[in-house]
Amino acid sequence: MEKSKIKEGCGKVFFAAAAALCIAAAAAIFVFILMKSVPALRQTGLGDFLFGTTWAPDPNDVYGQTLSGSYGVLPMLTGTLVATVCALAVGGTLGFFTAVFLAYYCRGRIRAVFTAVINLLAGVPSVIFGFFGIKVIMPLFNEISPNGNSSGLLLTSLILGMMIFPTVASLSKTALCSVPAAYYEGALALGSTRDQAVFRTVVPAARSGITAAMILGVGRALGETMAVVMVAGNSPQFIGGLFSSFRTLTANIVLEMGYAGEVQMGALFATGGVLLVFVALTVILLSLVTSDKKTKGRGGKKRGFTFLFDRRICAAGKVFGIFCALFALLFLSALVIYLAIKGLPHMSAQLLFGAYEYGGGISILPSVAATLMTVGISLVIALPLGICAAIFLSEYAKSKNPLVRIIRAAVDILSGVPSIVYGLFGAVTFVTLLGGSYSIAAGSLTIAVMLLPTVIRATEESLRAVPLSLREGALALGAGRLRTIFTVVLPSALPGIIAAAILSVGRVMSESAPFMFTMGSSLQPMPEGAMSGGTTLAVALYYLSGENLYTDEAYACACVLMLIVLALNVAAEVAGRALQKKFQGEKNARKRYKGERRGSLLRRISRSQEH
Amino acid sequence: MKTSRKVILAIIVLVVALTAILAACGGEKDIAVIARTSGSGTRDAFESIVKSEDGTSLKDAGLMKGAIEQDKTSTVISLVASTKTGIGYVSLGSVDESVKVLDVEGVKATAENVLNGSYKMQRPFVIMTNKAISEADGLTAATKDFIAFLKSSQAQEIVGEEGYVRQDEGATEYSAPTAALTGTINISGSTSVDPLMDKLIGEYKEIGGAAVANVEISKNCQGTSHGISAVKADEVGNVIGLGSSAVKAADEAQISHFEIALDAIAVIVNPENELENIGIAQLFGIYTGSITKFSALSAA
Repeated sequence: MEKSKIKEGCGKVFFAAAAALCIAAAAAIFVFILMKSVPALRQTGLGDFLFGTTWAPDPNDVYGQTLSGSYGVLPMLTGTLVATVCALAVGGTLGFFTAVFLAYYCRGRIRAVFTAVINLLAGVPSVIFGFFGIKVIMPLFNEISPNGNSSGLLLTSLILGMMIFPTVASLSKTALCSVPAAYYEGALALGSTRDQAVFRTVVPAARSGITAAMILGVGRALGETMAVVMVAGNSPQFIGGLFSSFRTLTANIVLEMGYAGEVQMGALFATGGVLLVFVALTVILLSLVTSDKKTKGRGGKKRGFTFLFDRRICAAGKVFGIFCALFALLFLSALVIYLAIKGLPHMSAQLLFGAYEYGGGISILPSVAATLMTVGISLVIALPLGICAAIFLSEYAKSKNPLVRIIRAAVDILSGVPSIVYGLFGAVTFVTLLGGSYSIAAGSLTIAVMLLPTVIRATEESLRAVPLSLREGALALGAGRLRTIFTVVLPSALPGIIAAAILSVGRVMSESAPFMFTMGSSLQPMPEGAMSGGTTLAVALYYLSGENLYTDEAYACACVLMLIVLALNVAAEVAGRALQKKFQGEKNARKRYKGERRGSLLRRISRSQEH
Repeated sequence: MKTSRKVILAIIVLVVALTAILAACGGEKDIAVIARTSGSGTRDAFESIVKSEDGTSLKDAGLMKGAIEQDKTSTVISLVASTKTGIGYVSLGSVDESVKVLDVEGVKATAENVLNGSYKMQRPFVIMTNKAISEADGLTAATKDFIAFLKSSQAQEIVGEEGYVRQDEGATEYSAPTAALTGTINISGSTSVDPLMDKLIGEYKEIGGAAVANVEISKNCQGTSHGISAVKADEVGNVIGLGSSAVKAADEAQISHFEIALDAIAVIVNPENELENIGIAQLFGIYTGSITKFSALSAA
């Protein structure tokens, strides 16, 4: 008895520690960015920095002398805000309706196809999105732009929207699927049409999950750099219209970091700081909004927007859902076909399997190896930590506990921190810690911190989806909390956890900004171990497209990247299905099998529920 | 009643939007001005060369508001390739057939014209080392050997082959060292010089053979000023910096340097553009925003 109590206590402390690590990570990022930006802010003055309307840095400015450049970020601040709102309007709408379509209006093979489409889109690197935007969409929009070039808000919103779309869609779908079937059936029994049941009953019930999906979407839009840099035009001025060139905060950092002088560098860190505060504010605001609704909502009497639930409008929602899903499919096929046409003819044996030599042929084999190592190391770190933190949040934490609120806020903030800021953070912390030179280990650690919020969010949602009755059953049968978690809750949430892993792999594959300052950005020979430098495929792609000499190789590299993402998706899908099948098969077999065994608690409970 | 009002409203909005779009389509479009971001070696060189008729440089006048700024050469090229009214500037070595290179003041952008100085838009590629260490002869043996190669006639062969302008003055024959060398050389700096450096390292390894097989060269290019700060911070004597604009007077005290090549900056437009030649003052007008249409150029 005593022993089991100690075990339970240790378990709880362990999970809590994993969750608390998120606070530490978020705090470290804040401290580091602030430390670097305070001198620059002192020099320029906080007010002039935040509300100054001109950004014209002078790389020769040093601390303690009169500044000759001007450092005002207001244009970039508004640029980031407007672009994020517009991107959310595009990506959020598409994602939400696609999720509804996926969860309730399709099944079997069609559902599998569209799920695969979304997972694939999540893995497309931002560099590719940017290039696709420039090469395919921009010429279309150029026709209606007053100066013949459509770099600007419209194009950026569309590209950014398509980038956050898979995040929103896949997480909203998880939230929608976790609503008990009884809600839907109950609504049908009360005389709703199918569409009304979905939009009036299921969607409101999944609201917290959908909001979480939107928050993650906003986080991605705020933090996106590479694609935005390519399509926004980057002029540091206020947005003047759909086609006027503008710059975001993230773009400001990535554009000038390589060339920055002393004060300019500080000002760029301060730009990151503004971005951080901005992210924190958004997160707090959103969490306030959602918790408000939670206390008021749930079966309350809301009459305000009842006309929205008219039968015809709900039916229109369904049609729109189908349209959104088809649009996603169309976009992805256009992207894939474009890459295939541009890339496949250049996929030579030398490029794929040759040795990399300076001045000789280019090979991406070292990059493939480096990418796989990064994926491996970062998942080994981020998955267990993230899952443990999620277990703490969903199984142990009481939502009113202030510590839990802080952890949640930390997770939300971590998910909103732009990847370029993670890169800078990693460069100062992990690179220094590991001996000062760029290494795969440093890059992996950086991306692992970055993956934490993704893993936690997705795992927590799927843990939430496990019916409470299963836990109660296990506890009633005498299992301790730990045992309940490991034998009942986790196995039931497995598909969700696999989804989290897929999302994470996709993220590692598609990110480039965090690696450039931690792993290096030039193509290098085969890595000799975790301590040698390297480039992931996405960074290699960025490098190859760098000076326009290797554009063909870049497209081939993009093809390889897409193929790997595809293969990973297929593998994860197969694994998930096999697990589920095994699970169900055993469950059916158990019905006839009288013997009981340790470790089959879940089956016992489900059986007792059936009887 | 309500529905019909909504329909009418929707139609009005649609008509207004269509008129706006059609109005935007009609008539000659403005020039889409495409530049590099501030701090780029290419932009630095371009803005000091481009001057108005009264001698004000673009650097002092400042880039027009609303110009598109890109941090990479390739993006500038793809933007110009996809924009009929686009104009941009890039390293001549990077230009491909998707864009058209303009003559500047009637002079073609070629190696000879850069060398004889008639093509004005040019800048040097520089190799930098830490001055204090170099003067105290503190560079590592491997670094010294590689620098000797970079100054050699064989290196200039590569420079010529890659489409840059050779700097043959003072170039000597390089021969592989007699004793085998070891150690690491760290190279960082300009992304514009990076592709050339790739070829140079390959040639160095080939000529040096077994003697330099154990010399590890680690290269990471993130911009000229990164290279400058890496060279300044060098303590071991194994850092080589790459620059794509002339070394500033303020840095002279800390940095030893030599020019390995000259590069022309090409002014590029869309292939459909009928323009063939552009004046430097005209470029000034375009990049400060006082000239907004290509028709204004041909009329003048």
